[in-house]
Amino acid sequence: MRTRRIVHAAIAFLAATALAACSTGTDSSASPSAAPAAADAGITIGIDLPLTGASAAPAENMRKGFELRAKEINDAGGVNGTPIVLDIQDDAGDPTTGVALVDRFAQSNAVAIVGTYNSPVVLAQSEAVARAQIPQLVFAISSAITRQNNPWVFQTGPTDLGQIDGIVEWLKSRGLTKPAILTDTTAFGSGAKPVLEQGLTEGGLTPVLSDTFAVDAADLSAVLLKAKQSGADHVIAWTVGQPYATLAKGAQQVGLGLPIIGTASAADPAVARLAGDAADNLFFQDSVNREKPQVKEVVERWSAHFGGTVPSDALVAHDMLTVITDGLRAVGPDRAKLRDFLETYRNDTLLTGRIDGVWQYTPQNHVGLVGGNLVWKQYDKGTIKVVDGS
Amino acid sequence: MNQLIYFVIIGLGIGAVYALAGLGVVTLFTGSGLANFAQGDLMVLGALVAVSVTSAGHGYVAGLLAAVAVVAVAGVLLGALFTLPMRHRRMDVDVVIIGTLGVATTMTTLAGIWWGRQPQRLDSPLAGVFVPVGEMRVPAHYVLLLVGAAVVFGLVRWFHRRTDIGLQLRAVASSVPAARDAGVRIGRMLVVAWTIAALVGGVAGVLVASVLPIAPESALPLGVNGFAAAIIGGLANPAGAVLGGLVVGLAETLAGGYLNDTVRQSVAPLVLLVVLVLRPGGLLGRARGARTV
Repeated sequence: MRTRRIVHAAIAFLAATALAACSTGTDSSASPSAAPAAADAGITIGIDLPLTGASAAPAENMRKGFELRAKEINDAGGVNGTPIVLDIQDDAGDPTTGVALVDRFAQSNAVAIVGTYNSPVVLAQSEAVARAQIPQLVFAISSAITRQNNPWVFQTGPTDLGQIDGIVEWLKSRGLTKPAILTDTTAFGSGAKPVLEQGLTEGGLTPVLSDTFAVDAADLSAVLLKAKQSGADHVIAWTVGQPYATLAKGAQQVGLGLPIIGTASAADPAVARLAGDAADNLFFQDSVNREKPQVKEVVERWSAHFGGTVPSDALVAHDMLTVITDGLRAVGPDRAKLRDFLETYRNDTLLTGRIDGVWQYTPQNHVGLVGGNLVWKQYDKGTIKVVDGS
Repeated sequence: MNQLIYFVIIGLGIGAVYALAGLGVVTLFTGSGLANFAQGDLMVLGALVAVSVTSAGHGYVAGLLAAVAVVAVAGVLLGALFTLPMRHRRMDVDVVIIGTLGVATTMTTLAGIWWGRQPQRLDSPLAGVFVPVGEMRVPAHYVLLLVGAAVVFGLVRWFHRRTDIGLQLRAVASSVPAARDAGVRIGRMLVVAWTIAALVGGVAGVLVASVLPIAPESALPLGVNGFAAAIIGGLANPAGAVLGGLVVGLAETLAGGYLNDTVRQSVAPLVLLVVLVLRPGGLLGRARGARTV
C-alpha cells in the first residue's frame, strides 16, 4: 500500500517536473506606467536574469558584471550626482516569470530593464514592455526579437543572423562547404535551427545533416558519430555554454576530426575547465577582444574584485549598463527620453566588438553590434586564443 | 558491429548513472518505506565536496572520503529532521515526502550559494584512459561506473540481508507497528536508513561527476532519473533500480544513436509507462493484478 502511495507521489513529482519544463508565457495585465522620477535613494535600473535554471551559470557571470559596473559608476559619483540602484531579479528562464517581472519593474519606477538572457523570455515580455513603455536592453540574440520591431526593445547583438553571416563568410574563406548542424533541444536551439538552415543555405552552404541534442545529456558521441558519417567537413553546434564541453568530449571519443563551430557562449569558462584538451577543435565568435586596452583595464578591476578570469558574458553586462547610464546622463531618468536617446546612440569605446568596432543604434536598427563585428577564437590546449581579430 | 558495441558500452555506462541514482532512492525505501526527493541533492553534495577537495590538490580517494563523511553527516541530520518531530505522532509518510521536496529546494539553493552555479567535473582516476572500439574510444570511467554500481548494489544488498541492522530496517519498512512491537527502535533505525541512503547518494555523486558536469541544478534531473530507474525496476528491490537504470540507459543510447534525439528523450517516459501498465510493481517487483471496476 505504501509502495503504491510513493509510486503515485513519485509519478506526480515526475509529471510536475515535466509540466514545469513545458510552461509557456502568458499575457500580462499590466497597465501603462508613468515615466518615473529619480528616487531620493537613486535611479533604479531593473536587471532581469535567469539566475536559476539552465542558464544560471552565464547569468551569474552577468550579475557580477552589472554589479562591478554599478560600483564603478557610483564610486565615480553616480549619474549626474545620483547613484544608480540595481533591482536584480531572477526570471529562471521562464517566460511567465519574465512577464511578471516587467510589471514589477514598471511599477517600481525602474527607468529601464536590462536583460534578459533567453530569447523566448524576451519574446514573451515584448507586449508587456511596449504597454508599460519602458526601454529594455536585452542580451538575447534571436532575430525573431528583431523582427518584432518593438520600439522599446534594443538588442546588444549580433543576433543569430548576424552570427550566421560571420560564420558563412569564415567558412567560405577556409573552403569548408558541407556543414552538419547540431542544435540543442531547448527553446534557444530549436528557435535557431530553421534560422541556421535557411541562413547557411542562402549563403551557399547546404547542410548535409541537421540533428538535435539534449543539453543535459551525459554523452553526445552518438550525434557526433552521425555528423562524422554524414560526409560533413565541419560541424556547427548551437547551444549555450557547458554542453560545448560534452560535445568536445564526444568528438574526442568518436574521433570526429572536424572543426566544431559554436556560438559566442562557447567562451564560457566552464568549457575549458570541463573539456580540457578535448576542446581544441572548437571555434567560435566572441564579442570580446581581450587585446583592447579598455578590456585589459576591466580585467584588472575584475581580478581585484572577484578574482579569476573575467568571462565574456560579464563584459557584455558591463557594456549594457554603460549604454543605459550614458543615456541617463544625457537625458535624465525619463523612460521615453531614454528610448529616444538609445535610437541615436553610438559608441566606439565599449568593451565588446572588435578593435575600432562600433555599437550603433538607429530608429531602423535596434541591434548594437551587427554581424562581422565579432572576433574568431579557438581553444588551444585548454585555453582560448584569437584566430582572427582584425 | 563496432558501432553497436560502442553504443552498448556507452548505454550501460549511462545506465549505471541512472542505477546509482536509483539505488539511493531504493535504499531509503527498503530501509524505512520512505521516499526522498532530495536524493539528487545528496548526490550533488557528494560530487561538489569531492570536486572541492581534489581542486585543493588532494587526490581522488581523499575527495571520495570527504564526500562520504559530509553526506553521512547530512544523512544523520536529515534522519533526525524527519524522525524526531514525528515520534509523538507516529509515522506520517505524506509529511515526510512533502518535507523532502522542501529539503531539496533548500539544499539546491544552499549549494548554489556555497559553490556557485558553474558546473563542475571531477577528474576521473582513469582520465585519459580509453577502451578502443574500432575507430572509437570509450572513456574507461564508464567501466568504473558499472563496477561502482555493482559494488554499491552488492554492499546495499549485503547490508540489508546479512546484518542485524539490515533486518531491523526491513522490518520497519514492512510495518512500523509490527517492528515496534518486536522491539525495534524505530527512530534510531530511520536515522540509520537516511544515513545509508545518503552514503549511497554521496558515492554515486562522486562517481557520476566524472562523466556528467555537476551544478546545484543537476540535483533535479539526477533525482528524476533515480526515481524513474527505481520505479521501472521495482521500488522495493535494489536489483530493480540497477536493472531499471541499465534498461533506460541502454534504450536511450540506442535510440539516440540509430534514430534521433527526440526519440531518445521519449524513451524513459515510454518505458516507465509500459512498465506501470504491464507490471505496476516494477520489472523485479511483486506483480499485482490490475484494479477492476
